[in-house]
Amino acid sequence: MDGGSVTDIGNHGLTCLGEEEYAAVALYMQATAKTVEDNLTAQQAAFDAYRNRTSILFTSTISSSYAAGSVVGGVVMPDGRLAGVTTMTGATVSGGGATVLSVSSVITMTVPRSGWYDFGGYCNVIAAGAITANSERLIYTQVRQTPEPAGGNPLVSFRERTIETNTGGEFLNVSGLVFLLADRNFTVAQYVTHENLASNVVTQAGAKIWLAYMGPKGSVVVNA
Amino acid sequence: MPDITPVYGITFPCVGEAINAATFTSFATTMEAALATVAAVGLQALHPPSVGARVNQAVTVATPTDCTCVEKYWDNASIAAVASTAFTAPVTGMYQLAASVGAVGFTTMTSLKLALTVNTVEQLVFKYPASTGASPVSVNPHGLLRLVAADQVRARLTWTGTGGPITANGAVSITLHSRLS
Repeated sequence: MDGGSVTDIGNHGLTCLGEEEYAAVALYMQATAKTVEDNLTAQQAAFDAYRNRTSILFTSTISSSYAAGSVVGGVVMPDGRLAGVTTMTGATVSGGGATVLSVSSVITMTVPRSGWYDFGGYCNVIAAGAITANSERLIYTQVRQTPEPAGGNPLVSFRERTIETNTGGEFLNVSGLVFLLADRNFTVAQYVTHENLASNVVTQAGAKIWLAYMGPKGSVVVNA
Repeated sequence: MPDITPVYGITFPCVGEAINAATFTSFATTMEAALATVAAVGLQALHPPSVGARVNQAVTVATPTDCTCVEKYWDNASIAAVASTAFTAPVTGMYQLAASVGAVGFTTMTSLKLALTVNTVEQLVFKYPASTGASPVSVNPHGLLRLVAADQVRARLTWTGTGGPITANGAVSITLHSRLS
């Protein structure tokens, strides 16, 4: 409200009427109600941004065995909310050789705010037939800036390997923290490879990649 | 005829309207309700539904067994119950889940598998492939999952080898990361 003996209260835009302004009580109450409403709206937006922290989870929905070297696009369930993300491809692996990378799930995206993100992946791999004793299963997930600077490396690359010595498949888990900038594009990829020469290996439906906002730059402190 | 603010419904008199005690009562009451609404949202933001519980279970070889909650370290949303195997999602959202269980009491162990299941379906699994001898081993699946309100999460342990039953002891934690609204 303008004019008269109106006194500001605090720092949220609230005011108090002087004695000579009682005639404007209705207007004062209207202004106060709208000021409080504006403040509450801003506060709720801040709370909502915190309780609805950005997260994205992709879960593959295919489970098949493929010939060596083949890569397949899969039907995928996008499950979450993150700008620029619609699909994830690939959820199978073919047999033989440590150099074969036949699960390829590459996602190009941006994030709505800069900060630390929990980044992880999960996959269950089962040999389609015979098992090569003590053969390796390997998963790795990467985040890369795109376009990537010349000579660039992944922002992060998390790996896990295990050895299969019996039946029942192996479960591969990787995760860690990565700092992402909101003004950059980046890609997220998950790869699985193996050395099971005796048969193909099948990644099961339910393979996952996730990103979950943890907090801003200053929220993580590293003690030297 | 009083008017109201568009979002929180705070009532206030229009110019020229007669103002009486009821006018102020309505003004204060609706403003209190608005403050309470946002305070509740703030509380949810600061204290998302979360549980941390200890699990302990005797598990027979080759017998998938859901681990039982024996003690709650914290639980602000009645997610778990002592003596129950179920962890129940209070609201729909994206949750961060983690479990870690160690096993002792076997003679030899060829695999130890811990699965976080949702309504009995395996979602996140960690399997310790093999161990020789009787050294304790542990397994710890974790990750992000979408849960619908009333979904039930369990930590299901399976092992192969000889000896036992093993004693499985560990913890399960589940925290809402973001609501789906």
